[in-house]
Amino acid sequence: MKLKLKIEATADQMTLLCATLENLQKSLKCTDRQMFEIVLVLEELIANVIRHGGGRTVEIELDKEGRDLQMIMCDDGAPFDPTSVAPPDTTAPLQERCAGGLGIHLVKRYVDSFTYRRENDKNIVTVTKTM
Amino acid sequence: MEYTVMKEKNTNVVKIAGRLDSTTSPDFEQGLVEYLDPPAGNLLLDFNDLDYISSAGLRVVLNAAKRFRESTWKFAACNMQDHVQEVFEISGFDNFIHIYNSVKSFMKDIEN
Repeated sequence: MKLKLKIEATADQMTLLCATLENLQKSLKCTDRQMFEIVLVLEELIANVIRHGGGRTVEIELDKEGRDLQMIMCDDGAPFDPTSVAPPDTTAPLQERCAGGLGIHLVKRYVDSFTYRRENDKNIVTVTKTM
Repeated sequence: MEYTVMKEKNTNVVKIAGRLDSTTSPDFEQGLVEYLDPPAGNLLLDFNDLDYISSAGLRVVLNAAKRFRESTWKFAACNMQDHVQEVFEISGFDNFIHIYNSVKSFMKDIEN
């Protein structure tokens, strides 16, 4: 199954995209748990684009072949490599904890590969997940 | 996202349903303010009907936990679905937020 979507880089559009994906659960042939993880990964990555990159649009390409899912996200924002975000210290005491970096930390836990490249003035993030 | 608040003795039980994501978390954070500023009783988040949480939701929970750090009142969560609890554990939030199995077990714990 292949799917291409384009949204404006806004929170509302991102929410709409997540709902659209959840409606495709049957076609994606994934469990509730896997669906949760896929939507979470997408939300975190797009939220980063909105927060850091200032991009106007995000294109999302989904490709599911057998058990392998590949998602490519392409945005026209300023250069921003989410794979280089410093990991949070999840063992730090409460007073030292901050929420920064948690989203990308979750992404890394829920995907099998996570790569970034800058091409034609666009950020291109590719994640893969075997289900 | 919707939430209801039930007061039980000295505890405000906030039961949240639906999604805590980038869009809904600011509203939830706003709704929690009156129980945090400053804490005037225990605060228990009942996650039984919470289906989804992202880092935006975790941020709200972290900020709430911090407000209780120097308070004598307790802050805790309960009734988490497995995938929500996993997000808490991956983030290390279980190090500073006690996760109870039920509202009842929290109530029993604070009575002792």
